[in-house]
Amino acid sequence: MLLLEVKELRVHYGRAEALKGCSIDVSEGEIVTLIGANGAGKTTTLKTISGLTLSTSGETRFEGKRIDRTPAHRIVKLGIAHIPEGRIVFAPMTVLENLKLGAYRRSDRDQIAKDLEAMYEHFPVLKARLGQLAGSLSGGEQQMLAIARALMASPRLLLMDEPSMGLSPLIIEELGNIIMNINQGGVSILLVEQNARLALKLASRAYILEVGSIVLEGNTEELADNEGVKKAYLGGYTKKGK
Amino acid sequence: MLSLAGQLIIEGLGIGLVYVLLAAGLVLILNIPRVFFIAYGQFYMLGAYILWGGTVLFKLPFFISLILSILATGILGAISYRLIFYYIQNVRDNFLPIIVAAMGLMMIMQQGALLVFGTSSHGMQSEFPGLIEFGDIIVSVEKLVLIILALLVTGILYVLLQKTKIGRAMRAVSFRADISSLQGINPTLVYMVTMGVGCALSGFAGGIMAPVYAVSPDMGGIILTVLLVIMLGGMGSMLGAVLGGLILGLTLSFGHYFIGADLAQIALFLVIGIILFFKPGGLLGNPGEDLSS
Amino acid sequence: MKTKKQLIVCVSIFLFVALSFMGAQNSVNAAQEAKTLKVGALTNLGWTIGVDFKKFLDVAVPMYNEKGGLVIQGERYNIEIILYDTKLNPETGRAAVERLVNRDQVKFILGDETIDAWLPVTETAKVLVIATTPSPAIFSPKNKLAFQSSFIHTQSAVAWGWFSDSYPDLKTVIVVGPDNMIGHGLSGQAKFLTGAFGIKLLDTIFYPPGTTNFGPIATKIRKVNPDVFTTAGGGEVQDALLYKSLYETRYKGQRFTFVNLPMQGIQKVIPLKMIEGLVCPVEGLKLDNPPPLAKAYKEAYVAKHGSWDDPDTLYSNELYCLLAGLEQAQSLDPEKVAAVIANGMKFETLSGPGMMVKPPVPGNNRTVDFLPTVYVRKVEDGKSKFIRKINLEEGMAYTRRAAGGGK
Repeated sequence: MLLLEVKELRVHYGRAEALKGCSIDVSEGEIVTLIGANGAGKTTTLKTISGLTLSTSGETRFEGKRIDRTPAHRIVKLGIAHIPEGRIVFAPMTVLENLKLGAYRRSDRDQIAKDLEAMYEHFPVLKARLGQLAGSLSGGEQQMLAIARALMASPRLLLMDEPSMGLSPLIIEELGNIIMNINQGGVSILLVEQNARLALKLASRAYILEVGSIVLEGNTEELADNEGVKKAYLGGYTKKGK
Repeated sequence: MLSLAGQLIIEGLGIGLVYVLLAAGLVLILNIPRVFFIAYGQFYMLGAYILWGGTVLFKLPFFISLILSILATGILGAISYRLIFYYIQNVRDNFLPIIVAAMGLMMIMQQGALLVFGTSSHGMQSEFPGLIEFGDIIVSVEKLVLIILALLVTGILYVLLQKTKIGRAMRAVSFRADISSLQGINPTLVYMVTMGVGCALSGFAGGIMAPVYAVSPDMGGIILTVLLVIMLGGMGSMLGAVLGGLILGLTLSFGHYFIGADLAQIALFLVIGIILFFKPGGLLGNPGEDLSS
Repeated sequence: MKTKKQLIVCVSIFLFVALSFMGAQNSVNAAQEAKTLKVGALTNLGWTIGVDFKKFLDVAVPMYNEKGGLVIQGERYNIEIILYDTKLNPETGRAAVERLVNRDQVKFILGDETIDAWLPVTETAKVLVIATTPSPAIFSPKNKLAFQSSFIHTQSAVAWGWFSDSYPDLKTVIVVGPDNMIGHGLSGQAKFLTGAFGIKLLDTIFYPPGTTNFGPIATKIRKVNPDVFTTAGGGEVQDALLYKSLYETRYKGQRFTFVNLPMQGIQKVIPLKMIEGLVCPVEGLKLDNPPPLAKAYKEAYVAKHGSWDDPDTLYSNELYCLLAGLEQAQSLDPEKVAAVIANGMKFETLSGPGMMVKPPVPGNNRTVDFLPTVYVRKVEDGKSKFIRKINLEEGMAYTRRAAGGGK
């Protein structure tokens, strides 16, 4: 069943066209990745879905309902959580406050408490630092917090923007496991990554975005074998290896 | 000598706490909707006039009038955001439009007050007559009530910001409005609430000042001193506002006693100048820091 | 029967019309008989006391005209006021005076505080000026036709003199006033007069005009503990707040003001028990039982403006001084009127009898200033009571002592 449906999305920043008719689908239970170079429009796509940026044309549907004119704070309640690029946590507030903000739109107190417990289990690092200011956490810990905060909204679809950026290989591996775990818990994920290797490993389907348009889409296994993709997106990473 | 110091501290505390309230409210407005709200002083005036009108003209009990002051200024503040600043807040280079709009609002309120209430200042008889003595220190009950009310509201404000959901939302929006909206927070609502709370603080301060001092249409000029307090404490810092208010109150109190009012004014600016020279961001602020703890 | 009735109706209508016509004829005749004397007037309509002056003229002038007006050597004159707003601006004031002198051709002007800017104009044009001004320039001996008609210079001298005689044991004083022209003017007066009457001025404290928190100043006064405390020009609200702070320090000294303290205004801010024992001069108009002219004026004021809203009457003497001068001189020649006024003329004002005197400053022999009957009141048991009337003879003695430096 289709969870998210993006059709012919166009976005302008002033006169510049950032998305030139981009169509993406995410089905229930899927991890879908969006790969592309810097400036290809990946972040814009996510921002438009979550309501931070307004599209000029095209439509976005979530569970069949149009959401392209719904303000961001209402979209969260519908079940889409967005982890923005650069793992922006509320630095001057404590870890616990960050987590509580994630559940801002929810009023089921008991379930929130249970979800908090679940987060402590998934992210033991956070439990030890509940009273600390989020700004004092390390990069990896901040990413964990950003993910946990998003999960506190109990979303059906998670939009992740460059979660691996600036993290060490060890933590990236842990991150991969966490993403898989979340997905196994029934949350669909739309993952934007520059680390195409990681993304293709995690996702079942992928879209390749170039200057505002989808140029290629398909199963990750097929795409990983595609020569063009290898050259453009996997080259650098295969050399580096682990 | 000790009793003299005590007496002057009490005097400074009374006026200082009022500045604390005023600065706290303006810090909220400066840091959350980021509106340079010069009309803020007029809400102080309005609060004072509502209290005066309520108790003197309509013979309402003091606390009822005080609640009216808070409600009226709070609601007016929230409405002024939605009707004016909402439309210019997200405009690029919005500094000048915001200043001009706030100045317009200030003039409307100022001239409106002159039209409705006239040019002369009004006094009112104290609601809490009587004196209390602590050793050699004599404190009037009304000043004590002023101090207690101001402390109480400062406490309530602290709890509101730190312990409640809307408080968390306000701090979150202050940090990043877009990221906050991703958590489901409606920034426009938070801005309206913040403007309401800020202006209500101003109105409350005016209300509790009215019986102790007096009511006049030029009360709004207090905005300059409030900005001074905020600069002194540090632009983004709530605790800084508290500290700044108290320092100001005490400096003026001791200054008026020891060196006279005119020199005290100069001394105040000197103290602030020296502090800002060594700490350009104010006592507790770093330039560019957001509203934090 | 019918015709009879008609006849009665017709006759009565005829009579009514005829009588009314005759009445109108009478009044027209009266208006033609009386000539008009144009008098110029200046004030600042931008402040309350200026507006109060206009309201005063609107009542007092018709009142005077209706009672027969000005009669000079059998000739009747109605007074007509030409009022210009100076906005307290010297330029505007001078322009207004030039218009009065050249276009309106007036020979008499009731002036205001802008007088320094245009006094040479009226002096050259031989126009008589009666003004209210704190500026001492009007006293200059080279002016021949300018007089000052308010109590602002003399009353302070009378008040300090009476106070020093009545409370001979009180020897030290602190003066507190706003840091503006009024505060500095009055505290300068206090400095001179305390010196003249042998009271030691311990300190003069100025506060910024917007001050409302007087705690520290009051604490200081209590610490210095002078025998007498006085305010200088704070206005009713600030004076009241100052007295309140002082009360809260339990300062026990004598409260005294040498200018009128508006009790009604004070009472809106603080209960009078906070200024228990205070003595201060008061205008006769404000007494429970005011002088006869004031009574009639109050009635006419209520008839014209609806109610008695305690208007300011600082400038009212300008009119009474001029009218008395004209009547007593029995001439419309400004120089002859000036001569009468300068001869220590006595005349009736809203606050009782008053007279022209030499100003209470050393070395000025021109009789250009005004001395009122001064009334004193005291706050006793939380109420303000009239306790003493200082008549013109006593008042004159005090102003002379002040002018002579206390001798």
